[in-house]
Amino acid sequence: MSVNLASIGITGIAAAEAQIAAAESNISNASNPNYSIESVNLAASPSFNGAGAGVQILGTTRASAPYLDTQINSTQSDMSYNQSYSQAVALAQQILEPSSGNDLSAALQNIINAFTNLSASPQNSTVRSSAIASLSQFAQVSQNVSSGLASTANNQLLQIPTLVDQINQASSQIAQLNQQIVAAKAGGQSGAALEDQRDALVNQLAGLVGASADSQGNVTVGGVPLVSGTSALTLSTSGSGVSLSLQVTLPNGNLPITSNQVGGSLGGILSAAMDTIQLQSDVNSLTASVASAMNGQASSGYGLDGSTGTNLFTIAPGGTIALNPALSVQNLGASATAAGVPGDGSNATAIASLLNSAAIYAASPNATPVQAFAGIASNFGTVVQNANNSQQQASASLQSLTQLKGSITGVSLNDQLTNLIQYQNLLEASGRAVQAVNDLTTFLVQTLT
Amino acid sequence: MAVPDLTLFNRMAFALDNTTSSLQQVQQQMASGKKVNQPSDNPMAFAQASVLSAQNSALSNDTLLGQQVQAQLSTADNALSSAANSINSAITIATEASDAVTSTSSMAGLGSQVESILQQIIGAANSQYGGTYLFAGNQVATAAYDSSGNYAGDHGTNSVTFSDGTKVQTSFDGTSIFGDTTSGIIGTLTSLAAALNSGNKTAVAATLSQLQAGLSTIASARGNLGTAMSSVTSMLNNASAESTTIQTSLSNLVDADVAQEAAHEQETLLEQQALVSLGSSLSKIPLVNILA
Repeated sequence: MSVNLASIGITGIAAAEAQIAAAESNISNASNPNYSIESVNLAASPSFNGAGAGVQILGTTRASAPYLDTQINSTQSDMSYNQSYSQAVALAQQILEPSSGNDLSAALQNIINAFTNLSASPQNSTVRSSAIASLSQFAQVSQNVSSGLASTANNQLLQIPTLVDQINQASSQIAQLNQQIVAAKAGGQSGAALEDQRDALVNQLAGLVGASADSQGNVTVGGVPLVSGTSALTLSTSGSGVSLSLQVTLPNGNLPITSNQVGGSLGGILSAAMDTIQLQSDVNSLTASVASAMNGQASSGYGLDGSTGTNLFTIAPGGTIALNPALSVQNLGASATAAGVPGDGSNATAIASLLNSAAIYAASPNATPVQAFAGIASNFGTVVQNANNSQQQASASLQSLTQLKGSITGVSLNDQLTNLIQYQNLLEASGRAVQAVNDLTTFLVQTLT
Repeated sequence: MAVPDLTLFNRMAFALDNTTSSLQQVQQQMASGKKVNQPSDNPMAFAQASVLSAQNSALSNDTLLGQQVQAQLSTADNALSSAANSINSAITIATEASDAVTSTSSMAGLGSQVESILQQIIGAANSQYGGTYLFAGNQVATAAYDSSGNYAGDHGTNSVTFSDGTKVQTSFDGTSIFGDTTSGIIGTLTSLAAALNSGNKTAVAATLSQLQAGLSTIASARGNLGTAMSSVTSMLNNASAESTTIQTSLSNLVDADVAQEAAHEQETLLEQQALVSLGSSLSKIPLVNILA
């Protein structure tokens, strides 16, 4: 039985060429973050006489780390969520900063000071004007804070439709890639490049909405399908502002998605908007409580003109307050005594004392209004601080996981260059083997002729 | 384990991002001079600083108001001091008039002096501070007495309560100190003038004890004023000391340690430069160079 020596060497040349091609591809994609390193799978060709039949190429394999991919996508979702959330709540926090001019604690203390001064000079029109100015400033600051927070929340929610468009676009691309990957594999081709693209899109969706995917490219968000095989479902919004809601369109109707089900940037923005609105509600509730308590005390007093029952503030149903337009220097109820007693400032003392008491705001029964305002700002600061810390932790985790995955799927140029030398040697050796067969054949032909 | 080239660059970029972020934070603190610029920098410190700032604001206001109240009480005390001197003069006159050798015509002259003293007392009782009549009760916009000694004020009093709870009376019921045409020192001086003008030595002698009682009333009122002024002085001293303590606490809570931050800034800048230098050397892949 004869041995086809030349064909054995040729299989080696083919194997070396395939490996060199894979190494070149790897080197070319060294800076491509979505690329997974490829390698050629080889196997000894079956022999029938024990002498060996060369090598055969089984195919090209793409390195993968499915467990790490899942972890990376989950961490990407966390990081994007915290990044969006912390950026949004930081904007809301700016509204509470003293440097913004919206220092509610200071505005409230100004009222206490002004009414203490008023108690000493209740008949003095300049002092009475100062007291009214302090009330006006407090009302203005509380309006600024309330409207600023509402505006911040609405601006955050305005980003949602753009994000939803990006999510739908990525879902649609994943569905198309699923189709192409199935077709490529059915045709015996490598779907490695397509799988790289799909992994990158899944990672993008994880960052956008906290999506996760299985190995077949089926994508879900909080248990709700977004991509099912080759079909992409459409995420949409309804309503606007605080009544904005999300749903996935299914053939039989819409499936609602709650804010708890979504992560990523979309989840972060939704949560930040809700927390900003809650902060606005807390501030409004406190300012309304303060205004209501002050109204109660002030309206029991008497003005210089002998009038009584005049409120200091008007309180809108939502809790926003404004200076009572009917309030004047003359009817400000600084006196606790009936008409015609200009030197009695005891009601002004009572108003100042009221603001130093801890029984105005039911949500913080042991805090004075100044302490309660400081507490609200401090609590929100803790929220922002926690979000920043969570973002940093998620970012570090993501960096660590990405590095770990990179050690499996990333391209090391040093490795590839070393491999390339090895493959060149293999190619050269295989070529020499073919050359040896050729020399032998030539010798035999010359000897026999 | 192979280290992919992209990982090297990513790791360097991540470290550079962290360093840049740290540098921004340090530079913000250096620029503002504060380590707590927003609630999230240190939520607990921010809340404490807000409350302390409010307390400090109250103390500043107390200081200004306390100085005003001190001046007001001092004006009242000067008025009472003047009134006491006038009463002493009246006692001297009454004593002289009671003497058996004093003639009726002399008594009439002394009566004129007492009428003048009465006007001095009424003038003292109508003392004002900043347009406020101090002895008219709560009728602070009206003169307490007319020239005859009729009281035009009321019996109310006004007080100021400072942030530490110190409560000080700032307006006074004139009748409880000076009386009116029928009572108190004004009533006594009115009676004395009438007795002198009519040459009634018995009636003159009878006013001596009332004049002493009036002097005691004034002294008692001055004593109360002294107590009030001491309270205000004590409050002002405490406010000054407390304000210093609060400012120290505030500084500890929110002010940046500039020297420490400057050192931190230099350290971070050095770290950043080292990373940039590393990034530069990363671009030279050793094996590629060797093979080249």
